[in-house]
Amino acid sequence: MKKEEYLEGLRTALRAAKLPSFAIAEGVEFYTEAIDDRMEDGASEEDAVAQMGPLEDALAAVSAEVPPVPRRIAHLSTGSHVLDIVLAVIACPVWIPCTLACVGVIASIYLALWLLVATVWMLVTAAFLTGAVGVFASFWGIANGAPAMGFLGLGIGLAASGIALLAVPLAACATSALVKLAERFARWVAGLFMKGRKEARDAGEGSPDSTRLRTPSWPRQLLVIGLAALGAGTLLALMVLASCGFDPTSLPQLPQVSLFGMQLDIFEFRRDSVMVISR
Amino acid sequence: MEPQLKRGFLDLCILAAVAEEDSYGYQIIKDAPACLELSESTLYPILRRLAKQGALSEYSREHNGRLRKYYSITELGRQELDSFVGDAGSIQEIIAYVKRGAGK
Repeated sequence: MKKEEYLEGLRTALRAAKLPSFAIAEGVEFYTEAIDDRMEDGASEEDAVAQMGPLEDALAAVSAEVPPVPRRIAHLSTGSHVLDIVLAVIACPVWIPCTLACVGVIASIYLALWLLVATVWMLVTAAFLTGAVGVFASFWGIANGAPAMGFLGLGIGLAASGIALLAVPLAACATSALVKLAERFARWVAGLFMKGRKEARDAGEGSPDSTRLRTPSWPRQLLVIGLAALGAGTLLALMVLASCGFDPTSLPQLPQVSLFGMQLDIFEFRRDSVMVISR
Repeated sequence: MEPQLKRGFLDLCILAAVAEEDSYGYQIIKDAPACLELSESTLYPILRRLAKQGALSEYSREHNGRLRKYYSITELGRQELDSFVGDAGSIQEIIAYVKRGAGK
């Protein structure tokens, strides 16, 4: 078979497969170059074409690398550019809202994953802040004649800090897992429009690096300090509660704190609520 | 060679073929180990994927009155090769283990 005959056959087959025009051009260019290189190396035209193998193999090779979305769009083509444009304009009340909805869903999922990461760390931060407030409450209570309530606040704060310290490795693992998930999701979306080895690998065989999750590990010092804070805080809070018969509302309450022109209550206990309020 | 096994080595061999100097499709086929039985139809999708992944970059250069596409390895591609070289010991261990199992 002659070179032009082979390339025309390939072009026809790729058009019949309704591949996008850019894929057809790239595929034909590749095989043209391959045949020319072999002829330059001394092969005859027929031998060079024969070494390309069957047209079906070339068609499969070029088709395999066209991503799903461009392939689907090309499949919708009528073969006439003018008719394609007219149909696209007529159908735009359908495909534009659908496209926007899909984009919205994808963006929402991606944003939700990152918001989960932020939530995890906000919870850890809140626990640390509770600890800081607890320390302040102890000094505030001692200074204002409500030491028991102050120590109760200190106990709660210490326990919360201990929990926060112990939770940091867990939060780091959760963050790592969520970030990997967000990356995989982004790669999956990108893979709909363009193919890469990582997308194919993750979708099929699964890369060990992409699927392995970090297991949390607690450095010795963190473990000791966290457990000590949790234990000490819990013990202190229980001692104070035991001293008042587990009725914190019977203890002198902490006076309000004036901050930036606002009057704030710290660790307020009311008979109608069992929750610790810190605002 | 078993197709599954061959598939794992194809990407690496193509990266290795352009690691020392930039190369083009037919030259890569000539340089690759014969046991891989590399052809244009096998090479094309791999070159496209490696280029899109960022392991290869491509450019065209004038050659004898026509344009020829050349491929060049990137930093990412070199990392892939280094990673494989790092795993070479494990691969040899696996080969030795299989050989023992096969009684050789």
